Formats: sequence, structure tokens, C-alpha cells
Amino acid sequence: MIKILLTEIIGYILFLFFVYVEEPIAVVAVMAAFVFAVLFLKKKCGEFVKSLEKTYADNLGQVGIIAVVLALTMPFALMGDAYWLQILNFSMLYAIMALGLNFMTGRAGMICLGYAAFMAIGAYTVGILTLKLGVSFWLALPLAGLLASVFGVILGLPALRVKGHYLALVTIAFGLIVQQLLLNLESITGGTNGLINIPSPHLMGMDMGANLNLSFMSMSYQANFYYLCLIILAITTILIYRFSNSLFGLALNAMREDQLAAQCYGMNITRYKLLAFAVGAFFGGISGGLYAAMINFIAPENFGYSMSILVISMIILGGLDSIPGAIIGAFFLTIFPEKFRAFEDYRVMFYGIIIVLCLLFMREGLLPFKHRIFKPGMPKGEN
Amino acid sequence: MKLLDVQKLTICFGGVIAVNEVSFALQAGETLGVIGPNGSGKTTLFNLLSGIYKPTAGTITLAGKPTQGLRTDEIFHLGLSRTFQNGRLFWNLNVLENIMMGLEEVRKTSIVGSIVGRQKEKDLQKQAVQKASKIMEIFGTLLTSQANKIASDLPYADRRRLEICRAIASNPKVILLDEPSAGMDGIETEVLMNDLLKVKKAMPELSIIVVEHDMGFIKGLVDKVMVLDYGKRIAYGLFDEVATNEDVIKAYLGQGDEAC
Repeated sequence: MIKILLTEIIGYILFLFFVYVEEPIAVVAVMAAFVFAVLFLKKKCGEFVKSLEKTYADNLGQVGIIAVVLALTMPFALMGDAYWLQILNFSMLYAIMALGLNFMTGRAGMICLGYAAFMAIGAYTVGILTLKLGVSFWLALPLAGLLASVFGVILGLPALRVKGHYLALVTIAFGLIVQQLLLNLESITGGTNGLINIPSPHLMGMDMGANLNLSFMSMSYQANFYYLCLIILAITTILIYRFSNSLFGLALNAMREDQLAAQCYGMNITRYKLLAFAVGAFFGGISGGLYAAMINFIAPENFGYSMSILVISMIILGGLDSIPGAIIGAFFLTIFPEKFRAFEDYRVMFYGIIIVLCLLFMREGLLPFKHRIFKPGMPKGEN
Repeated sequence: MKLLDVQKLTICFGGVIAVNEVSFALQAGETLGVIGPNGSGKTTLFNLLSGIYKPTAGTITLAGKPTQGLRTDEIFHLGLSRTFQNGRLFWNLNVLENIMMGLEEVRKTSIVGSIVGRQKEKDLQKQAVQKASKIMEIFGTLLTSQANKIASDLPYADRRRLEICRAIASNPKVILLDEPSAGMDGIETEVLMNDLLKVKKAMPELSIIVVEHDMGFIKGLVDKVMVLDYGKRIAYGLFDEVATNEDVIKAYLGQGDEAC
């Protein structure tokens, strides 16, 4: 308990330091020092690191609660700063997407290089429903997830016949088709102009697009969305965790390992594949819906191929099939480049380099997937 | 009653008739050896029986039900389970998980059940782990001591054992073993033989069809032998009869005129 609390607080302080220090060189220096410290610790005090890992693994509930409590205080620590809150909001949206994609690709083995399409579908669902039809955001958001799921199944149907590289190609094509449709169905989607003035959600009479005024301090409106994203990220994490740790999740793992063998052992592959696509797409849609309500403006170019690649690089960096990995990967790849805005043009190259380096030197990612441990044995008093 | 009844089973790939009008029947508890030279259609026969290939002609009846038009997983549910020539374990899953994949518990959970009804899910998992542990015990502590090891980290012989455990986990009526001794030396083969006899002893009602290359291996194991050559059944009967059959010797040693 104490260990978890302390390490999480260290992480929290490091992040604040990262935010408040302006000089990129100082940031790089401290980050490098941190990485070396971790590597050094691992080498010198391997036992300690291992016991820490075990403490974390054994007390997932505590880890989650402490993290959420710390996260709740973050807007105050940032003094309601709009810029950094917005970045954190994006990190959380990406984390939700990364969790969804990780379920599809990491757990079920369905490679998807067109994931941004699901986000686009979610964003446009919320956009069109709230802007043109006046539907409440709170109803539109789940609908966005469900519609993305439906499209996930539609993508899944041709994907049933292909796997590996061919599946990757099908999903790239899917991403492009969705983007082209958004561009060309002008009467519904607004074409290249996109949708503007999407209304902000209202919660108990309060406009989430207005500043958050507390009696002692005032925060920019991003703080509202910060808390909304945090709640949805927490729910997403719990859902994905439960899916993954059920026997259903185990079956998906088996399907990833060997489709033919899984089929010969009674798995209806069609059903499981479509379910994997539906679940993965659902969270993409939710993330897109949140994005539309937060930014109030969406256009097809926001959901291009590079976005799909970004989400893939997040889960590769974090570790395929690893839930904490997906979250860390999303936060790292969203926050880290922010300090280097001057090199904005090289952003996509940076993601490319990350993927290549990970695949070469760290195939399992930052936080590799941990295998389930079962205690074999017979029940007492039976047989 | 016949457990498995195969009538004039035929499959053509383009112009090649890989399995040509093969018929045989299997009683409950019986062990049948299928032998034949390379390319004689043994594995194709297994793929037909387990539903991976659809036959061009002929019928398969399993436990009284024709399997025509059924998917692989539906045939599995009728009680047919198999191993593969080149392993095909779930390599990145551990030993227990591999066996659990053969259990019906895995298919009893649903995506909804994993969120609501957590107690049911927990019970099912517990039940599955217990069942899987019990199945492993057929080989004593050989597998139980490595229950949480990843399948690809297992030594070769234990992989074969794990495969057999996975195949019998669902309590099937018939299992198909595709060249279980492939890539093993004499001693390992003997150990495997003992393992299979253990399985037979533990599950007397289980029918086994075992594909083999090597006639010596199956001698002590099988009740009957079927010999395939170029997709055709050239002999069928008790081991000693078949072993002295002239056609069989010809097929193996390549004597005489071998017209297709």
C-alpha cells in the first residue's frame, strides 16, 4: 500500500516537473536520468523491482484507486491550465482508443490499421445527432459507440476470410473508405468543411463548455472534460480488464495463437472474430464521440491514416495485449511530443522511429503482458 | 452401434484424388491405426473427419449424426477431437490454459457474462482450472509441475503430452492423433506409447484413430489397422493380417508395378 502510494506520487511529481519546466533540454536531461535510474535500479536491486511489480500485480484495485484519486487532483496542481489539461484530455481519449485497439489487435490478433475510422464514425455520430437533430450528448455518446460497433462488424465480415497481411490491407482500405465517404457525403457530413459548432454537453443544467468556477478558483472549461474523460477512461479500463480476464478473453487469446486449432477445439471463429471487432470498435466510437463534444469541430482530415498509425504505435510501445501498457503508451506518445512543438513537422517520423525501435529492441513493449497464473489443484472434499 | 461410420469418402483437389472411396467403421473404445507411405492421404482423411475439408463425395456419420455441412467446431461438439502433425498448441498460452481451451466451460461464458454475473464467471473459471488440473494428472506430476509454464517453453515430449491432454479435455467420444511420434527417437516413442496406453486405461470408452508412418509404433496400441496408398484403402483388418498382406509390403517397399 505504502509502496504503491509512494511510487505513484513519484510519477505524479515527475509529470508536474515535466509540465512546469519550459526548457526542452532540461526535460530531456531529467527524463534520461530517470530512465537510467530505472535501468540502474533494475540491475542493482532486481529483487526490489520485482517485489514492487508483484505488489502492483497483487493489488490492482488499490493501484487503480490511488491513481484515480491522484488524477482527480491534477487540474488543481496544474492551476486549471487550459493547454496542459487539453493535452491530458487528448491522452485519455487516446488511451481509450488504445485500449479498444489493444483488445482487437493485441488480444484477439485482428490487426487493424484503420482504427481512426471508428473514431471518425463515433465523432460524426455525436456531431450529427447533437448538432442537426438536437439529441442529448448523453444519449448520442453510447449510440456513437454502438454505431462504431456495427461498422466494426461490417469490417469484420470481409475480414473473416483473410488473416495476417491481407487483413491489414483490408483494414487500411476500410479506413480510407470511411474517410472518403465523410468527404463526399457533403449533405450529411459537411464534406471538407466538416461539422462546426457542435454543442457542448450539459450536465445538470451546467454547460460543460463554460469555465469551471469553484468558490476558491476558476478553471478553464477543459477541466470539465478532464473529469468526464477520466470517468470514461476508468470505466473503459475496468470493462477491458474484465473482458480480458474472463474465459472469453482466454478464448480470444487462443484464437490469436492459432485460428485453425481454436476452431478444432469448438470455437465458433466467426462469432468470436466479429465480437472482437465489435468491442474494439465500440471504444473507438466512444473516444470519437467525446472528441467531437470537446473540440466542437470535426473534419475528415482529423481521422486519417496517420491517426491509425499513431494508435498502433501506442500499443506497440506499451506492449501488445497489456492493459497498463496501452494506457502508458497513449500518455507517453501524446504528452512527450508536446515539449518539442518546435519539431512539429517530424512528429510522424518520431512515431515511425518509436515503432521501429520497439520492434527491434523491445518487442514486448514498456509494460509487457503478464500471463495469468492459476493455482492448479483439486477442490478439498471432492472426489 | 457404430460410433463412427465412414462410407466411400472421397475428396479431389483439382485432378488429384487425395482420398478415394475410403470406408471404415469404428466401435466405441476401439483403436484404429491408419498407416501408409507419405502422401497417401492420411492427414487429408483426418482433415475430412474433423471438418476442415468438405468431402467431394461420401458420408461420415458420427454418433448417429451425419456430419455433412457441419462446421469444425460443431463436429467437435459431437465428440470428435484431434491433435495435429506439427503441434499447433496455443504456443503463447500456459499449460493450464491450453487444456482449458478444450473444456466446455470456456464456451459457457459470454461477453456480457464477463461484466455482469461475475460470480458465475468466477465459478466457471475455478471449475475449469480444477477440471484441467485433473486431466493433467493422467501423466502424474509431469505436467502438473509445469502448469503455469508457457507451452512453447515445454520440452518436446511434454508438448506431445499437453496436446493429448487438450484433446481429451472435452471428454470426447473419439480422438484423432496425427503422427504423435513424428520427430521422436526410439526411447521417446516408447514413452509416448506408454502415455497413450495410460490414456486408454483411464478412458476405456474412448475411441482412438492414430495416423502413423511407422508400423512398429502402433503394434501394441491398435485393435485394427487400415492401410492407405494413393488415397485408396488397400488393406483393413487385424494388425498381423495386415502386416503380412502382400499389397501392403509392396506399397511400403515399392516393389512391382505401381500404376496410379
